[in-house]
Amino acid sequence: MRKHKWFLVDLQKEEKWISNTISKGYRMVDKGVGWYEFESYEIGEILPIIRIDYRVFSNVNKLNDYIMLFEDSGWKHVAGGMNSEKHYFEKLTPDANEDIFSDHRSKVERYKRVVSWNLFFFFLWMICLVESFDTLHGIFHLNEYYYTPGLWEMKGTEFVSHFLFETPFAVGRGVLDSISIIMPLVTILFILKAGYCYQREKRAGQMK
Amino acid sequence: MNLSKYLPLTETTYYILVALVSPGHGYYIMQKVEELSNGSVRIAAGTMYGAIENLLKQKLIQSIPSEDKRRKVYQITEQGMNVLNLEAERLRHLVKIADINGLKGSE
Repeated sequence: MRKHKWFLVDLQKEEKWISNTISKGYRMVDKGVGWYEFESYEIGEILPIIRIDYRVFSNVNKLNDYIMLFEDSGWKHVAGGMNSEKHYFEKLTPDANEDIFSDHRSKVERYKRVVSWNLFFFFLWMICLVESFDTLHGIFHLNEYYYTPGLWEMKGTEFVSHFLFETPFAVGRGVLDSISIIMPLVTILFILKAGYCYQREKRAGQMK
Repeated sequence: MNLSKYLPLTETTYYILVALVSPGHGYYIMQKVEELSNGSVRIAAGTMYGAIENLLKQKLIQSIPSEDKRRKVYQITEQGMNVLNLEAERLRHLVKIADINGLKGSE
């Protein structure tokens, strides 16, 4: 059974949603962008619990060593690879409170990694933004995305053919410029949300 | 090199460094620490991985070549040994003044 759902930065919320689905008699078997794959599972004394870690790996050997550590301690790597920051681990256990983190601090530090990874992307997007700075005002004056000299002075079929030919390119330029404005804003939103989650989890831990 | 910036060690870090006096991979550390602490300190995989990364950054442990292609092996460094010795000294002194002042153990 495939469920479509998006969770961006709130790892706690995602874990809760997955646990909720599991409690209805399922087991998570795969994940892709915007979807989760569940399989029917009869829950008895043993529960399949899923926990999420946020980590980026620079090479596949490090990733494999990481996966091995979890496997050695009874956690199966269900989803997450070199291209994903989130790693999903499953354990079959009678204890619903078991976790991949044994102290509160290391659990909360997941969000620090979310922030630093997004900060890195923020700077990359800012470079893109600076590169496209000159042409950005085209978003408000769409005709500026048409580079054909003398296009607007042309008439009749000559104009129509040149216009239609260049339109896909003009649209492409507009889209690229829009992306270079939107993406830095998106990463900032992620950073702020991750910061909020970090504070929330930190406070929750102190209240125990 | 002023090693006192690493002190005091957390209890978990202390156990990890002691465990790595002999080389071992991540899961070995988890088992050894549980054994050394008589079951009271259990490090979970996610926490363990983070702790290893931190100790590598601080150069208190190092990765050594291993025959096991799928698991990295670690060992304490000379700097790590020095820090551990300093910490053990600090703890010995604390225990000594507890004894001197009549603080009995709970055995």
